[in-house]
Amino acid sequence: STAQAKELKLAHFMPPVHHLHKAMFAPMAKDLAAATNGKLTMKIYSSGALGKGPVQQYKRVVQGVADIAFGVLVYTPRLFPKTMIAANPGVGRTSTEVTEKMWKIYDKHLADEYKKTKLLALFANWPSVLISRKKPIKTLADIKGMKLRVSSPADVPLVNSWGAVGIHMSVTKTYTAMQNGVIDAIQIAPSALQRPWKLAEPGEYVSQGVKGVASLFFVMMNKQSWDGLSSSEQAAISKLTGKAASIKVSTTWGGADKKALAAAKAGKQIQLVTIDPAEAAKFDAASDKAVRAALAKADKSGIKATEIYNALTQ
Amino acid sequence: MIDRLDHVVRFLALWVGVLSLLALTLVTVIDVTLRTVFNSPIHGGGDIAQFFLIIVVSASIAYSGRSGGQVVVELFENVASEAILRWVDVVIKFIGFLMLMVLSWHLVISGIDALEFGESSGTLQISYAPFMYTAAFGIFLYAVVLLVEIIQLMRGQSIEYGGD
Amino acid sequence: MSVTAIGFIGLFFLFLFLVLRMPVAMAMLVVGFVGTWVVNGTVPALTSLSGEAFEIISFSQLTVVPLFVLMGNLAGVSGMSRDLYNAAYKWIGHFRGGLASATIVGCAGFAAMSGSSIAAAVTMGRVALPEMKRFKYSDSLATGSVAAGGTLGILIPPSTGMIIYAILTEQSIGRLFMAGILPGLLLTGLFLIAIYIVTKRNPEKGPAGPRATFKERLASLRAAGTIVSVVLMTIGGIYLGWFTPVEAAGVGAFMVLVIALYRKELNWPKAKFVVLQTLRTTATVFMILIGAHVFIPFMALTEIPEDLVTFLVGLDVGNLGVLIIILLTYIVLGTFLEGLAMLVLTLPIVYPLILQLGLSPIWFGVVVVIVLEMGLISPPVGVNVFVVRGIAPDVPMGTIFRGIWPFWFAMAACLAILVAFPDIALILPNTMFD
Ligand code: NA
Ligand code: NA
Repeated sequence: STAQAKELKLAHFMPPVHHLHKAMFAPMAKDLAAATNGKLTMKIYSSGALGKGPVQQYKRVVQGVADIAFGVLVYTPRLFPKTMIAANPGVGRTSTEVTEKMWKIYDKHLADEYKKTKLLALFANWPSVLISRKKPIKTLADIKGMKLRVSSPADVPLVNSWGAVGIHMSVTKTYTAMQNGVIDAIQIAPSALQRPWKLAEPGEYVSQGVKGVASLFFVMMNKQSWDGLSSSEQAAISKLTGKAASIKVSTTWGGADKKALAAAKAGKQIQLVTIDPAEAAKFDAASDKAVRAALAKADKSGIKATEIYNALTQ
Repeated sequence: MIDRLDHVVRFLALWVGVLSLLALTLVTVIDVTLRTVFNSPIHGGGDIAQFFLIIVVSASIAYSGRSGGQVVVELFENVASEAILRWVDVVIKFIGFLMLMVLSWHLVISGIDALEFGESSGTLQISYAPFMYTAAFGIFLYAVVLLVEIIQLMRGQSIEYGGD
Repeated sequence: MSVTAIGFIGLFFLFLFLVLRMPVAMAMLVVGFVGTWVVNGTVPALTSLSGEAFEIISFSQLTVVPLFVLMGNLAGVSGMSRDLYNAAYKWIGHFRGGLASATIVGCAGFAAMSGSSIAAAVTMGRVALPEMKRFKYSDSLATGSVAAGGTLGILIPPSTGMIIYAILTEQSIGRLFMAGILPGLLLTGLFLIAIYIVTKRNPEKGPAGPRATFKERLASLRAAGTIVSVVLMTIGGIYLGWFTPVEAAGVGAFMVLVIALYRKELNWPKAKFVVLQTLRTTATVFMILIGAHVFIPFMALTEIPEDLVTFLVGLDVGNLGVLIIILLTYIVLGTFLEGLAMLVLTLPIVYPLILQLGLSPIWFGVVVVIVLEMGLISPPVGVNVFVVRGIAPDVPMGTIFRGIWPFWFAMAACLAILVAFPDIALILPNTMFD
């Protein structure tokens, strides 16, 4: 019966106080109910209420455990080898820019990675900076031999190309690891300096100016749930999601990173280091070489990785 | 029949347990030592510990079932006759048997689908498929335990839950 | 049919299965799976079932369970509990009730290596009960102090109860462990006071033991010193952020293993016993968590927990009133429900309530553990009492339960103090490096 109200289940694994819950999911639910006069609503199951942990989010939405699921691409990188290319350095300087670039090439290059679901949002966070303790990172020589935490195993060869020792570690462990000197530096988005990760406390310096890596996120809807909606209901969802909504959320989220950088510049808790352009170029040249090598390897496995990266960096 | 099964279950638990508990302890200690003393942790040490954990748990479930390790709420012990209790036990165990068979079977399916859903370990990116099969086997063994217990009960024999 | 109705039918079957003696984990698994099937369809139900089971089996933080259980079991067979009891005995055994007090102190020390209250009661009971018998302690005080002292095993870190709470509520295991230390010491002190009061009123219940020479005392400290250093390394290492609880468990298990081998205390029969015990406890914890993680999404779908929370928060009794209702309910449930079962069955409803009331989840974890401890020694179903009876089969159950009341009131006092001064639990986790 089409007259009956429908409720969509949205599953994510963060607490309800998380930025994305407040800035994206809650407003989306509110706007959808308003746009459909309460005929189509969205119930948010936060903190993994419909299933534990981030790894299975894609599976959950494909199999219909939830109608809509939020996930992080890096937990299942093999599923999205083409999209993951957008996480590489050089794609953009801000979260908005990276997100825009992804959507620019989406139809031509990425769409076939999302065939099993209805993609509602695809966005990036702010490209990474380098947070260090004891020693400020100003030159390639500074970073040589540093234990540098990265957020994706794919980033290990990248920072190794700078002479650092890349260690893949979950963000939840970084505070203690930095405090105890288990790691010397962290590659991460600048907003991690502030709550909840508070890396400005164990960190002494934050270095910017080098091309950073981004984390990528999706919101997807189960195909059958989508097909089961009337065209007006689909239109209501489409209006609240897609390219424009993705760019918007990446921009508001990026506001937190800008704030963190501004605070660092004001010298609150941590000291901002802007790497000299000539020196940054050396970092970027090394990164570029590592990226090109990874792309060439991916090319051989049958995806047009170099072509996609070139399209993203144009 | 149950004695022979007990022997298998216990043997498996003991030897897999000895080896993987030792491995788990050593991986952790080596990882900590390399990290704190030599400043270079094992790449993917967490993944390796995780694999041994899956093995430990898989080897232990059936043994735990046979040695009285499952938490049961003891509410009404002696309200019904022994015959009734026996049949209630058979039904309850049969439901459990079905449940475990479904879980075991679907863990195999998950293993087959692991690639499709990108399920692999965090750092080393090793597919979870073989570990899903391991878990499926551990659950299956517990199902077999319940089945044998059911047969024993239906023959009118009683069941001992003994462990070390 | 509404999802709420389906939820209540599910709950009915859950209780039916429990009454018919289906293991708690299995009952949650069956009801969670079938319930999700009815509400959400076949494919989602199967995906949840195998997905959540594997998520738990492969959850790397949970390596803390086999490792800490291994450490406790190794400590149990390697004579370390004897060393602990000995030291306490040599220092305070000559006071009135001193052997019972030594039992409590020994239990507290053993609790710092073992995550289980049963293990603590068994190991310390085997050492302490014959001694107390020799010095003509009353059966009630002797068995009561072992049963109660054993419960410290889940309050003083490490603790399997706290690990389960941490996983179900996504709280940090390390912080919960730290939060248990001061309340654990407080409760140890309250137990000693309880013994003092009992023996003051009836001196014949706990006659003084022999007075040890200073030399003997020093020697006993040296033996216990090994254990204290293991505890300081592991628990202190977590506090200082040297390592995670998982790593602390591995380091602790390794150190105890090395000590046991060095002292030639570990032979093949003991090793077999340790490994099989460790596997059994590990499977118990994992099955409970798997059952809970298949059951909890079903409960979330039925919206029953949400409605109950709204109802309870809406009651006109204030936050403290709701908290007291929760604690009293737990105490009543604890009389006949096994602790872990009670924890996993109630947390889906109680935990959101605690968050709603704005209470600290870490503090509540400690409070819940103390309530579980009360359940462990209260009739009719007191697991630790059964355990003690297993060691001292000639003592009637009624005598043990009679010996327990002073300790039960000590726990109630500890609970009241923690409600009045939450900082006792929170000060350590708030100052730790993590
Ligand atoms: Na303990
Ligand atoms: Na009880």
